[in-house]
Amino acid sequence: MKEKEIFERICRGDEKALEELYKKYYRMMAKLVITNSGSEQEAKDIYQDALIVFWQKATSGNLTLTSKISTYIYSICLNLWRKELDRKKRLSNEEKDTPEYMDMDMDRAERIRIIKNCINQLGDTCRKVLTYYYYEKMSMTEIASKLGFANTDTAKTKKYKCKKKLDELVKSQYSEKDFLD
Amino acid sequence: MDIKEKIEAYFERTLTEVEMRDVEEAVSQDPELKKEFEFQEDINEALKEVRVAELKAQLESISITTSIFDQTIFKLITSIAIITGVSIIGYWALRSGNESPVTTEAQNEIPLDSLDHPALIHEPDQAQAESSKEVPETTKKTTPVTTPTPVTPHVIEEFADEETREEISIPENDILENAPSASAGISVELKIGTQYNFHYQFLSNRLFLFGNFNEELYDILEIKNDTESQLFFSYKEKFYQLDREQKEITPLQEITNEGLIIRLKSIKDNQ
Repeated sequence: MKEKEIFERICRGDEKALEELYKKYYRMMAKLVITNSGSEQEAKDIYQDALIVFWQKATSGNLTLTSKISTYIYSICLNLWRKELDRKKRLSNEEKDTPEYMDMDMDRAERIRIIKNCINQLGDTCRKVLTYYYYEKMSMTEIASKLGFANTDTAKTKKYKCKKKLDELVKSQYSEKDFLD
Repeated sequence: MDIKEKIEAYFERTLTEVEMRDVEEAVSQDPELKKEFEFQEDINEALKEVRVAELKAQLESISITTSIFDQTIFKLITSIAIITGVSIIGYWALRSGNESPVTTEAQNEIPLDSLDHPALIHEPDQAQAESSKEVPETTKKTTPVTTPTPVTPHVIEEFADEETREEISIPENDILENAPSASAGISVELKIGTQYNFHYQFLSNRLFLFGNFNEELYDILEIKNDTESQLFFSYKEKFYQLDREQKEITPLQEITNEGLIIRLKSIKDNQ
């Protein structure tokens, strides 16, 4: 399959194209990490993360590719792996978080954990509509086409209802946990 | 549209730049609105985490035939197996050609003098090495099945394959030159979990970033002219000015100059 075709399919949110891309460049990207003090598991994680960054940018329409896909993903892998090495270095220096920071961070982490549970209670269609819209930043037309809705208006209505349902569900969970005064 | 609806719209990317700034202004002055803003921000973050986990699980389920190391070993073993197999077949073919006659018409036509070839009868080990020369002579008229094909062993170099060597050309030097920290010739160190958030400082041409900058990719951009160069920091689609002389920990100042933003976006997109 040609580069242009793969890229166009990915921009349309074709997950099969993402899988093909994953297999195609796996060894090349893994080699980058493995030959730079990384394990194969780390190589896999970095490559998956890089591919997801690429996917998000492509599906949201924020990416104009001026190089080969492999070159672009390679540079993301390089960047991510450099950050990971920095993180490891920091850990080895035993830098510790201040208690205030930890409290604040854990509070947010707990809120997000609750929201994630609520998202998973919404059902497949709602989860897809919301993640496609808010994460992939797909247009309503693309969502309607991907999920087989009759038209764009159906997608809009669905998104509105799902978001409302999620907000209510989260707020009810928050009040049980005393997050909201 | 009331302000709460505007906050939702803010995260739905349906507001103009001016409207977005109005929302940010309103949020910074009203604790209730700030709470609502953070609520929507958390929802966005959770949706992102759910989707990323889903995509990662999907990629994880894809079977990559073998690991890099295993593949290299696998190729070596396969090569050895092919060589051994061909050798055995060749040897077997030579022996069977002489000791176990196959009852075909073609074999009946073998000239008797060919059976007297000393190498085939008395030195079976050498027959293996010379099979490419001798086999056609002895088996040409017996049966095509027993004709061993000379195989040149394919030497596998580490990670060498068509995909990485030919189909994909990686301009590694370009990447290193264009990679964020390398582009500006400075190294970057993240300081997460300190009392500072969204701050920076320069020490010995090393950029220290204070804050949780590991959520997304960041970039260090550089604009050069004849006499000087200016550094910029890019994170989450926003741009901030950097001063190489800034030795004190100082907040990152967002750039609002539209022309400069367009120029920086263009540099970033071309990286």
